[in-house]
Amino acid sequence: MRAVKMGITLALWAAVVVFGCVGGALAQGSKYPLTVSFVTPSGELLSEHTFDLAGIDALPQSKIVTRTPWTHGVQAFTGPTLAAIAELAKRPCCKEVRAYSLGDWSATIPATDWLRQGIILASRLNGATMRVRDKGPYWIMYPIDGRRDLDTQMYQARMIWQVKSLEFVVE
Amino acid sequence: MDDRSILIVDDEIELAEELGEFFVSMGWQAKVCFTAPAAMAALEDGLAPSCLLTDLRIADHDGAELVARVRKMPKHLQPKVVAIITGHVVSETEAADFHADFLFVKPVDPVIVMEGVERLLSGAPAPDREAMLRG
Amino acid sequence: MPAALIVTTLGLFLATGMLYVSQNQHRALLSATVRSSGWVAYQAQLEYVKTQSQFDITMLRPSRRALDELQFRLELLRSRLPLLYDSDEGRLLQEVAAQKEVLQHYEVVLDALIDSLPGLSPTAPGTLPSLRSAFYEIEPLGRVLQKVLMQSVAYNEEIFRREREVAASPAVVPFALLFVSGTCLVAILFMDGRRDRQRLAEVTAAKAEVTAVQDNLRAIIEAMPIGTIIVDPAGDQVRFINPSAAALVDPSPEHPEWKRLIRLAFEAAVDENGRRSGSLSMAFTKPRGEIVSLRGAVCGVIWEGRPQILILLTDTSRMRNAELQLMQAAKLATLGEMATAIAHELNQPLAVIKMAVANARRLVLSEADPEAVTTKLDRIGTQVDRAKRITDQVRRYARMPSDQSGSFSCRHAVELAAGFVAEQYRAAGIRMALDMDISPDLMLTGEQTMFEQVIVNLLVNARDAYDSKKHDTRQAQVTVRARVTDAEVVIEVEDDAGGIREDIIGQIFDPFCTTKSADKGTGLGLSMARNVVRDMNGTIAAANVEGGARFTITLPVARTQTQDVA
Repeated sequence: MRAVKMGITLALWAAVVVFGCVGGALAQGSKYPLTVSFVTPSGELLSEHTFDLAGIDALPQSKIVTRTPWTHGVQAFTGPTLAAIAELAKRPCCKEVRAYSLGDWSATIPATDWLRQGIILASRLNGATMRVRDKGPYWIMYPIDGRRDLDTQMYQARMIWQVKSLEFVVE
Repeated sequence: MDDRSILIVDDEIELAEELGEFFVSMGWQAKVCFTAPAAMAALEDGLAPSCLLTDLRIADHDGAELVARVRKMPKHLQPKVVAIITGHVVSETEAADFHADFLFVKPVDPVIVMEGVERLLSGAPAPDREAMLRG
Repeated sequence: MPAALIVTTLGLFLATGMLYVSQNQHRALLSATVRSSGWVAYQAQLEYVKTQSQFDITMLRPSRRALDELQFRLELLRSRLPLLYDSDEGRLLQEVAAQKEVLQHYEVVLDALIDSLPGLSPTAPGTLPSLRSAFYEIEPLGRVLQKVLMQSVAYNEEIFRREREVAASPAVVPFALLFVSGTCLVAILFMDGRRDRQRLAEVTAAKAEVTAVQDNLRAIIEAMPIGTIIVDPAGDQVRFINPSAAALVDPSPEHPEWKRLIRLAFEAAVDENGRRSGSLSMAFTKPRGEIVSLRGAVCGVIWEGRPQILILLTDTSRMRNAELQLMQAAKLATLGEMATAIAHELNQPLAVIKMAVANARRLVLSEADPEAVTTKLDRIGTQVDRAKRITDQVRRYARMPSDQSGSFSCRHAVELAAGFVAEQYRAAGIRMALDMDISPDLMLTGEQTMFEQVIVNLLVNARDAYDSKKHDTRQAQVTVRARVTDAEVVIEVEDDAGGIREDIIGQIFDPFCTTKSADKGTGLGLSMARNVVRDMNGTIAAANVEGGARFTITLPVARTQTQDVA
């Protein structure tokens, strides 16, 4: 009886520790949060949201399996669709989005890409999160293998990695 | 032959026969020949009829020729009267050429022939040729 | 033309293909240019510089925050390195690919450094030297990055040079080929089109002409005084009649009498061998009963696109009647000439009758045997028959021909004709010899009395020819010969009356040509003879032979007979 009680306590403490570690990991995941903002064409801010990894995971997810110029072989990218993120506007949205990377590079992505191509903000590569050096935490991914015309310089410039914020320009 | 004898020459057998029969029935002596050579032969044999009655065409022979030959014969063999009968219509000039005493046109009336011949034989003047032709 | 078309099209395809290939090359060139613009190397170098400055800041004033920021920078720098060799751009350049090992070494170094930084304390004394040593460790990376950048630039310059070259020499050949083939194609199509339009115009014109000609022809046929009948050979159906033809039967082609006319026409249009020939001559009884003489032709024709039979008929009744009248007149003239002979011939039986009557009278008057009288009467009867035969002959000779042809025995007809003139010949002292080397069953087709008239005519002419030679002692002889050769009968009338004058022998069959004096010859006999012989599909010719003339008549044997023989 007493051994059982001790076992349960131990298990509980282990869980706390594990949670702590996970939390730590989670904490690390939230080291680079994602900022999603909605602005008018003139630059006036309409709304802003900040997501950590959990928040990102809560959005409707999609999966793209493809080759890329920067990886070897077929990879599986998982993450919320940009269309889902765009819907956070709670109003008929947007003509484009400006994506900013941790390195302060940016790319402008027109609305047709998330409406027609089904692009995603990949948060997982083959199921695991990505380190900054591995082009994480977030990487905008196109279904390259699915469409031949995505294999161009223009589109490759839009597949921005190390995304730190998305600024949607409403119409 | 006596005064009333006649030699009839015609290649028409039936006509010659009828003529012969007629003259015989009138009391003449008649000989009938159907060819010119036969007639010549008979005359040369000394038939000497008082009259010669011949057709102009006797088969292949010419009656006029016969007459001419007869005229050349010796007098005692020649017939005294020569009469020609013909079916053709002949003109007067042609009749004269024949040197015949009479020229009758068929069909002849035998009575007229006989009377004409008899008259000549009995010394009557030469007959009117034209009248003969008409008859 | 088709060959040229194929060649041109092939040229076009070739040109298009070449252009496409050159476009692709161009595009590849362009993308290669853009991709390998050294941009990645530049970006990497930028991160390197930022990292270096962060190093300086951290070494100057170490703090947790500075260390975190350094870690961040190092992460970014680290993420840039694989791009140098492990992207499309990197793979393009040989020189950059050669740096791969070096860069990978630095990746490892950077990885280790990044992982160690969280463990460093800002205040620990060993931190600064660690940082300094790390700094120097990654310093050569800067140079590597610079080198890579330079190589990219050099490469790009090469690309630019080649691009300029390519731009300078545009795809002349494919363009030229394209232009030429395009132009040729257009030219060919245009010329083809024009030719086709021309042909179409020609065909339309020809068609219009044909229609015009047909219309014109139709108008002519309608107006023609010759009866025109178009008959469908299948079923002898009348397809077309013109007004002149309508006068023969009925204005309506459906009238049943047409069939009779057509049948008669076909029967009449046969030559001596029984084959359908072109011309015909026939008598036809019109529906009202009037008999007309028709002359015409039958031939094949294309009418409204189909093969039909064309019958042309012209009413020669009046002409025929005139002809017959003329023949009759000639005959009667001949008869007139023969009057003396006929009279003479009649005189013979009359003479006998007269004699027999005289003798019979005598017999009756002398009450002779009744048998003798009946003999005489019999003789009279026989002579009357003889006279009747003569008058029958005259009547037969004098009557109008029926104008209906039939079959008759050649030998019999010639013998009748010869018999008719026999007395005349006897009177003239001419011998007539008949050498009939043909069977009595040998038939001729034609009108018998007209044929007899021809023979009589020739015999009379021969007799008349002797008139001028009356004093010739030689026996005159006329020979009538007949013999058969193949399907023909040859009848010759030959005399020895001196022949026909050479200057008229050519025209002897022409009407109104006569050698006889005006009161004897009408000059129509031989021309009539020729007409009759022609109507019987035969020929008549005159030639001079030794001492006289010979007339030769050739006639086809009646059809049925030759068929039997065949």
